[in-house]
Amino acid sequence: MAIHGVSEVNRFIKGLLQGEPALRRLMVRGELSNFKVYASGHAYFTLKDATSALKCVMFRSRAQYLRFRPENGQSVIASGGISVYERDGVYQLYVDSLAPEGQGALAQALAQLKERLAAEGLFGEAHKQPLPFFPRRIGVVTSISGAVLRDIYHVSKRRDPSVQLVLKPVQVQGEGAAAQIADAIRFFNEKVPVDVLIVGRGGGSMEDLWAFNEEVVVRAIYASRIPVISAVGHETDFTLADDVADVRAATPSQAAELAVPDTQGLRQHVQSLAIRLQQAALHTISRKRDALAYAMERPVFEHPAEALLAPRQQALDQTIERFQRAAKTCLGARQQAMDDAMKRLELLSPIHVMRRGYAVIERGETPVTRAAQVQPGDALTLRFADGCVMAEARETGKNSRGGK
Amino acid sequence: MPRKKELSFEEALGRLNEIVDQMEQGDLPLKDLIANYSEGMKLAGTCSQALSRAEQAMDLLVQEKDGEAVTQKLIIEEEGK
Repeated sequence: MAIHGVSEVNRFIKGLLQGEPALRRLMVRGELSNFKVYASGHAYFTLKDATSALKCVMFRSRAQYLRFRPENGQSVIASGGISVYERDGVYQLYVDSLAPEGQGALAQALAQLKERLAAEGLFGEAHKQPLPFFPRRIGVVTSISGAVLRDIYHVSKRRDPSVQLVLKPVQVQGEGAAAQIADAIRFFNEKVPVDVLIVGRGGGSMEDLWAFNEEVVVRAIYASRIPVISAVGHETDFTLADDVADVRAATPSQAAELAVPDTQGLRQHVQSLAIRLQQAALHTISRKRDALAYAMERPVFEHPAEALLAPRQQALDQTIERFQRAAKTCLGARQQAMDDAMKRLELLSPIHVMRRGYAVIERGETPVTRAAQVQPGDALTLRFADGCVMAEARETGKNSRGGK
Repeated sequence: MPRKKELSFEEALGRLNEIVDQMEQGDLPLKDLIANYSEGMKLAGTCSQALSRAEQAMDLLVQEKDGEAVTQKLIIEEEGK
């Protein structure tokens, strides 16, 4: 026979127990004893019945969700799996959830339903509808009596006095409550158009809130085309209605806050937008006016005649001046030429020659330039520079130059 | 002009935001500026009006009768009454 170490044996037994499907997940009814929560948050206790005891451990990750205060002697139902604590060689129940007996079955059913509906995708974020921004009509599915309706009424009217509430009164607990709630949600969708639905009730025990865990209610909320805000119980209460609703409100008052926008704040927002609009318009206009003023200050607008004409005037002036100068130059040259011509003319003038002692001979009005023109006896005028001599030709001949 | 469908408050506010952003951002041509400004002021008026609606709608209690909705005035009882 082989010899084994202690650890080896314990590990072997652990493997055996864990391999047994019936022990992997089971519910155990018993009486609580030695219940103790350690600083770590883990809870240790023993379940007993008339003849036996079973060691149990509930880790912090589970124990923190305990919905009741466990007391020794209390009859409870624990669900979990059996395994071995190797160090001490003991087997124990590793508890996932613990409920006072009576609620145990309910809790189990709830967990199973939740799992099933989750698997169907009913709680998925993809199905959540956004709440309307500015609802005019709020549908309310709750009891006609009680604080819930009053809270919703006061909060929503404070935030928007003109919002309209439409109540479909339902029984929120007890036999038939779930069916009424589900019908009311369907009824709103089919017959009474509202912008958003608040479905809820005030606080109570788990049983009181139970209708909001029922499948008909969950499915009705899921099917609603009107966005649904759930408001069931207090902040610490969670129901499947909360899981499936488009938005979960911790309280009915909060549901009204979520549903109805604060018109005071909105009014201020709109006002500030109007002011910004005006300022933007004024700003743009003033910028345009500046641009216009700048343009108007340009010389062409300020002194249009000068600005437009001055350059032309200047060009004209310059042209005229150039013309005058050119004319002057041109005329000067002519003048000189004329003067010269005059001088030369003067030199050729007979008077000029006559001054040097020559005379011009005329017969009648006709100048005589050759001897042959003269006949003896002709009356001739000898014109000197300083006067005339009347003479008579005595004789004509060729070139007699007597004396010299 | 064909009569336009009345804008919801949300749409009006959204459009108003859009216009203000646009006007604050850019140097709009004067023609657009005036058009945008008038539209914006009209939207602001629509929004404010929607918010300040004086008449308070009567709250209703709705019951189902033969599959149809039957409404009556909803009276909220104050605590202690």
